[in-house]
Amino acid sequence: MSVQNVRYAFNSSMRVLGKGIWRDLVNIRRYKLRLIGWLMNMMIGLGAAYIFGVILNFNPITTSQTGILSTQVFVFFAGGIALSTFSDTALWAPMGRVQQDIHYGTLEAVFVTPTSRIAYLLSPTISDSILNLLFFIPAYIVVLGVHGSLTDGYVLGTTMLIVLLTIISMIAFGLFFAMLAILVRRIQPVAIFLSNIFQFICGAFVPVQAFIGLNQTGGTILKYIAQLFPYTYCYDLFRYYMFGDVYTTLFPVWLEYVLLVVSSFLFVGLAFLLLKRVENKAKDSGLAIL
Amino acid sequence: MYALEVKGVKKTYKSRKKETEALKGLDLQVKKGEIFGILGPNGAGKTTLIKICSTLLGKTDGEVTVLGMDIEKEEKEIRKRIGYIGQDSERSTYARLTGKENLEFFSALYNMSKEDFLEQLKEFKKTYENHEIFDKEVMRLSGGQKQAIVVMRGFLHNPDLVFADEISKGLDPIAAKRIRTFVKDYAKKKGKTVIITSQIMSEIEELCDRVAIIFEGKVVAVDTPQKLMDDVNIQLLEIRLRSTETATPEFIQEVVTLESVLDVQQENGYLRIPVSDSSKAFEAVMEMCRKFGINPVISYRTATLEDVFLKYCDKKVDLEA
Repeated sequence: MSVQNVRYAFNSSMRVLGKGIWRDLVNIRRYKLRLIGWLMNMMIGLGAAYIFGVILNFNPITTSQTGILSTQVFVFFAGGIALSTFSDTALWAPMGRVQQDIHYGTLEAVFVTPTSRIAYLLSPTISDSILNLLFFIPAYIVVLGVHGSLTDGYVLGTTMLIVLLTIISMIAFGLFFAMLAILVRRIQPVAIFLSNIFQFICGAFVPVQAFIGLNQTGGTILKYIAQLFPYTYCYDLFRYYMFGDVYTTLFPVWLEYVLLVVSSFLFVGLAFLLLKRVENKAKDSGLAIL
Repeated sequence: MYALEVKGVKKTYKSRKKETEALKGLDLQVKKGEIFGILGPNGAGKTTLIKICSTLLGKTDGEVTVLGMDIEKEEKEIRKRIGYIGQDSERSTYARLTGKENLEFFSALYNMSKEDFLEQLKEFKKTYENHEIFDKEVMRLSGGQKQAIVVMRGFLHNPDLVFADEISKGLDPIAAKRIRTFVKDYAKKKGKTVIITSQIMSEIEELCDRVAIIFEGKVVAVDTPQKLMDDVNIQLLEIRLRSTETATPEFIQEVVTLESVLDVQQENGYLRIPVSDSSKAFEAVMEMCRKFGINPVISYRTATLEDVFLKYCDKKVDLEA
């Protein structure tokens, strides 16, 4: 492929990505009810984080017994909400787009064009993330103000870092689920099951370091499997920022950043390769896409 | 060079339980600049053929050349130069975007510049007079208006060849007429090749330079609509009975025995009478009607495209007797 072709493909992909984001933002602006629902959801989540933060802040016994600071508790809850919201976005937005476009027949109209499929599938992740951020940041700032942490760069920075890491580490898996949706029309229950397994392996419910405690051999194998996925490092770093030096990460923090970014790129690359195969498979069998 | 050349194309859908052979070695050539119709009953393989040729579906065997390019080797280049209007695609627009915004979104998928897009929009506005479809959200448009946006989407990037699968399905006659007029005017003005499938005979007759009839996965006839109709040697008298009149079995029996009359078919207040010599038969039938006190409205017609369709696709009904 020549340099001009690469440049053309890149520019074209960026345009599709940009237009996809524009489409979703126009859509939500005109869907007032959905807009309000989204806003309310976010406010409720952050309100709950604030209440928990305040409760623990006013409980000197808890603070003295655990050594955990009120700020850390606040980061825990706000970060948790951010992690949950944005991992859902990255994981489900492309699949949602594919399912909707199959339902309305739009996917056919898209797949008959020479456009970059990856860019098309990534656009909902980015537009949903922008939308989430548009609501998340103002609400979050309000809660920070009430909590008295508005000038605390650590809290804001940590939460935003978690948002960024979550999106990066989950993008490829969002694409994998979108591909499943191209092949199989009613994939939602299977995808939810797979997502739960995946989250467990990556340490969402139990830290990866604790797998060995569950079972010596199985735990060790699971731990090695977990280390392949970027999301594992996302959770690990989240716990590190929550507990500080009390928590021992899988690898040194700098290395976890490197592993997170590198493995994310590798999985996106894998998704790129698989997508062509998935499209060919769908073309041969006349599956969900048709 | 043909706009489309299909040689011995086969397509088999495989599932766990069975295999379905949708195309059984289909051959077809479409010239550049033609509006080419594909007729066939449900399940004949029309949509499968259109989807294979527009790169949406893979073939099991055979060769397909689109605009001189091999469908498998130059898939991406073909996609840049073809347009596609799918069946039941009226909902395939983004409902909350306006008609113009929908087209603008798809212009990005074809990597069109803003200037080219606006120029094309201007062209569409010249050919399709109802401009409100561009400024309203698609969800507020009627079915026919939505379909107009979908049809324009197929022509948006100035493709050399457009595949259109049943473009006026489910539309009222006025909306269908508007769509047909747009397709015909635009394609002829720009010299585009359009391959169109339809179940509506009048649509094919009005639009197409040539027609292929597909039956059970194979092309069974190809020619101009006029030539196909000429080949079906039908002369038909149609008698519309008034509400107060009935065709008694005795009357029908007498008509069948008349010279030049081949058959009498009765349906919904009509008598259809295939004849071998229309002038002789007309007089004889009129005389018989007078004898039985029937005062009918008699019309005479030759073969229509529907008769051609029935000849090739419904072996039970053979009007040539």
